[in-house]
Amino acid sequence: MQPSVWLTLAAGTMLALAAYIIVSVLLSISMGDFIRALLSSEALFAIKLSFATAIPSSIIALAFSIPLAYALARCRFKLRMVLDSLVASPMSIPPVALGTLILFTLLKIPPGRALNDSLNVVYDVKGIVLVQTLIATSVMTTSLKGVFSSLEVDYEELSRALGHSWFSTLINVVIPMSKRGLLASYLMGFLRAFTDFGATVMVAGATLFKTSTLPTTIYIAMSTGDFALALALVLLSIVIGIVVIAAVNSLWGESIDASH
Amino acid sequence: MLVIKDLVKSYRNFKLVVKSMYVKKGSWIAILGRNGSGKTTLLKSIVGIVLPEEGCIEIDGATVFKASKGRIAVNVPPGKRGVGYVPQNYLLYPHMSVYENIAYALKPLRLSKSELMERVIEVLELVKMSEFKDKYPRELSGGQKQRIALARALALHPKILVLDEPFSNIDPEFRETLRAELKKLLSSMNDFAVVMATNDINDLSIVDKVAVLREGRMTYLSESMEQVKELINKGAVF
Repeated sequence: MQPSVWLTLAAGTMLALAAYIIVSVLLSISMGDFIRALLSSEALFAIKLSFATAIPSSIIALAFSIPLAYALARCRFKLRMVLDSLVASPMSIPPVALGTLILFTLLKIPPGRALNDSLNVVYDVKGIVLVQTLIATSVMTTSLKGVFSSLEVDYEELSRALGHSWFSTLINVVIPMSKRGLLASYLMGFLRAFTDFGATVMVAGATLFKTSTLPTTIYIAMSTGDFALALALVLLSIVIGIVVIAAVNSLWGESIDASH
Repeated sequence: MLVIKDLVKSYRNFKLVVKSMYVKKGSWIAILGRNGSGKTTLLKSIVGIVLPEEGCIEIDGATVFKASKGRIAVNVPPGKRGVGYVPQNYLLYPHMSVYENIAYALKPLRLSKSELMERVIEVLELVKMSEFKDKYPRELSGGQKQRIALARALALHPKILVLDEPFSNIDPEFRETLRAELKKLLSSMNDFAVVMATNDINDLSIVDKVAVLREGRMTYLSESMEQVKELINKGAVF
């Protein structure tokens, strides 16, 4: 069979499956219930809290990710492989395991305990920000490492030859030349932070109107039988996910076009 | 004046060895060799982007690099060596305008805003590209990019000008014109030495001296173009 037939078959199956799930969800809830659920105080709190935590978390993560990814892409040092694996580990272990590790660190390990004692991180919104920052840093650093590696190193060498420091080179050459890839990496990190459930619920708990982010509220709604709320938030998550992924894909496409 | 002595730079499967090379102020040397012969490594060593394991590089009597058995004794940073560098693909920053590309080169010199502007305008006039100052590299032809890259290097008032295969990205029918233009322009300035890497024997028409690099070894250094042509005919260069 031709590769194009396989491709059409796979894409068709995926699209049909996605359409079937979305239509099933849409049919199982009336428009009135959907709007009521979406405008309920639980849903509005969840949406607000998710954005209020994912935006600062992803911005903090970006500040860590840029130098970290640049060092991993360009510098050759002894523990690079170890650092590389360590940075990617939040993506490679189950979110619940990551949450357990963070919780254990905050409650049992002296520096973490001191941090928790002074800032009250566990079972608080600050815990959500901490978890989301770690996850987003991992996603952004891994993605940005690829973006920076794909840049022609000669441009950076020339900048150094002109007498610019590595920091000036990063700010004036590397970041502007990879701005689309940078934005796409940011959005990917943001989306991962926005949608995390497992690690967040371990560290921040699932208290309605306190630490109930969008995924947490879906979990609470399902466990209390409020299916309208759960489905409304599921649909909203799908829309946000599709919009962000479409933006990421378009930015990647432009980024690849620009590099050729 | 540029003086290079006992320079050694090794990579996994390659070793560059230059026992002795000098270029006087106002003169122009071509480093002739095929791709992979070590031309760019030699140029980057002069610029300061590549650090050799051994050897000494002097510019106008000052040692800018000195190393022995892998231990570096002197290493003046690239921006402070007085070297203007025109890389092979010109490497104009695509997100900066022509003006900004040249201004970026001058930024580490910490000139005042008016001095910086004056210097950029001065070199743009020199290469006859003033009206292109607000254009972006994507809007320029190969020859125009070359002139801007040259202007960026000249803006630094270099003691040594390093050109890495400056005509390799130019359409063959325009090369002769650009060679003549470049020769005329640089001859009129005459206050620095020019080191140019090339694998095109036609480029030798504009230089005063030729050094042949073969598999990392500098095998020949001559001011006689006839001798160089003889060597090429014997197959001792490529």
